[in-house]
Amino acid sequence: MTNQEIEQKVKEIIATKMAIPLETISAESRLIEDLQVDSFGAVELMFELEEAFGLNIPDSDIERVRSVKQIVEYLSEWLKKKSENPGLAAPGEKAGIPLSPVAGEPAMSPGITRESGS
Amino acid sequence: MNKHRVVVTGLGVVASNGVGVEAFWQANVAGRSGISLIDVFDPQEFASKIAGQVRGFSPANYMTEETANRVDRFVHFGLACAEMALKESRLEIANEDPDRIGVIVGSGLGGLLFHEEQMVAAFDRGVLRVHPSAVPRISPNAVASQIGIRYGLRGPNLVISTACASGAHAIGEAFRKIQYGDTDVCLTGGVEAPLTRFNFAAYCALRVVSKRNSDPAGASRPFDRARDGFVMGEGGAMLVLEERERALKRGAPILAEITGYGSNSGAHHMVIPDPEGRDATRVMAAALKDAGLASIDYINAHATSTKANDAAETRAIKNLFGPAAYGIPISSTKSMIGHALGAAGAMEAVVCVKTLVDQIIPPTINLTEPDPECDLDYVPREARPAKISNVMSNSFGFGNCNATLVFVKTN
Repeated sequence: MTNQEIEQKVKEIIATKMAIPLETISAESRLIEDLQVDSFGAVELMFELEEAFGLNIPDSDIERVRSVKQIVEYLSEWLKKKSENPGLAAPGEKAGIPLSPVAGEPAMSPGITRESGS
Repeated sequence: MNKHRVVVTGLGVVASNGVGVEAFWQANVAGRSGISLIDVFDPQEFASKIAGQVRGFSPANYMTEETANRVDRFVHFGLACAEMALKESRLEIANEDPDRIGVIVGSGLGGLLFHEEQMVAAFDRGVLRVHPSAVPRISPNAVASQIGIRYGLRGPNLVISTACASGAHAIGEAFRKIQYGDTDVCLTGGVEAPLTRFNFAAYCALRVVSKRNSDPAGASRPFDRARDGFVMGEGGAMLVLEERERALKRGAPILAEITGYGSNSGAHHMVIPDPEGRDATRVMAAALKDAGLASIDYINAHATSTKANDAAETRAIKNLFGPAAYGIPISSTKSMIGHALGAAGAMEAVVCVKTLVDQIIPPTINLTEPDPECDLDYVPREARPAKISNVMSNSFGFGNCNATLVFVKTN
């Protein structure tokens, strides 16, 4: 996925979430100041990004990304890391492996496991 | 202290036999059933496969798409009904003191649909896949809060959960708050979105729902000998209740006055009513006394179409009114839309108000051969024009939580 493709997808997710026209969002748009994303909205947005890109974003990283550009860079870095190491779990998987591209993050809690196969 | 008088100035409803008050009311007068085969999930493995499923309802017609995407179906019903009721009441919130407008809504189950989706996500995909909005979407009080947020209403904001009596209790408590001056206006009613696989399985497991799957429109048959349980319904209804003097002053449409409310418990069993209907008798008596009435012109019965309820309710009406019970027309809204649990009492309150306005009693459909234990006048199969000054609506919830409301005709 090119950075351009990532950026397009990020913008689409933000536009849907905030119910604003896609063209009002630029790479320079800041989440809080320009797009009026509140603290709860930021948490929801990160969840949507996790779902769309197949990763778990550690809470500490949420505060690092404050603009569309920073989100794209963050995702790009992470996707690159994942392509070099396909063993990294996707968020839907129960392993709960920390997927932060930043070293030293605490592991996320493991998913619920279920005994029966139903 | 002199209690304030309270009037109804707006109505809103979403039901399986009609979205919007006029469509719903016309369907009720025509005796049109809203029961059909369930298709929101595959009902094949369930004992019951039918419900009063709401169709042709687009949340985005009543709220922004952003809001519609962020709330559970039970809140869709609440926001849509609130919008309709406010519009009819011609209440301009911008011209009002929002501190004096409350929201009190009944819901038995809350955001069960999203709850279920999120449980599946937690178990199948891992706890990290639980959506951050799960808490605010699932909470039963989301419905009252979302209505309050939408219109900036800063008075009392409550959700009441008393199973199948939730809607009636909400309206009764809103009535009291205005009577005692706690608030001047209240958006009140009930909502329920119970058509989820888990919830439907739970009611099937309880063996209380009808299995007359081959005849959906004929499945809800209160007081009929062949009734075999209730049919699950969904939807909602909201009323604008308002202190009478201020409603008159602002030239509001005054549809009816609410004058009586009774609330009690049978303290008997979680899912079985007292067979003698003693608590039902007492709650009706309390509402009548509250309204200062000795008789009633019409009873909108709880009438679920279960063996136990309809017989016990009939007994209770006879306990209270004696031989005069045989002269009171009684009918069941649930015969047409099934039992929408926490929304039922509010939807039936809408029927009561419209009955007073239009002077016509909607029928109990499907009543072809009455149960010998049910020998009162249930207005079978066809609506009946009548001169009606006052009406009573019963709601009896699981857990023996009972509520009765009395409305009277104005002008």
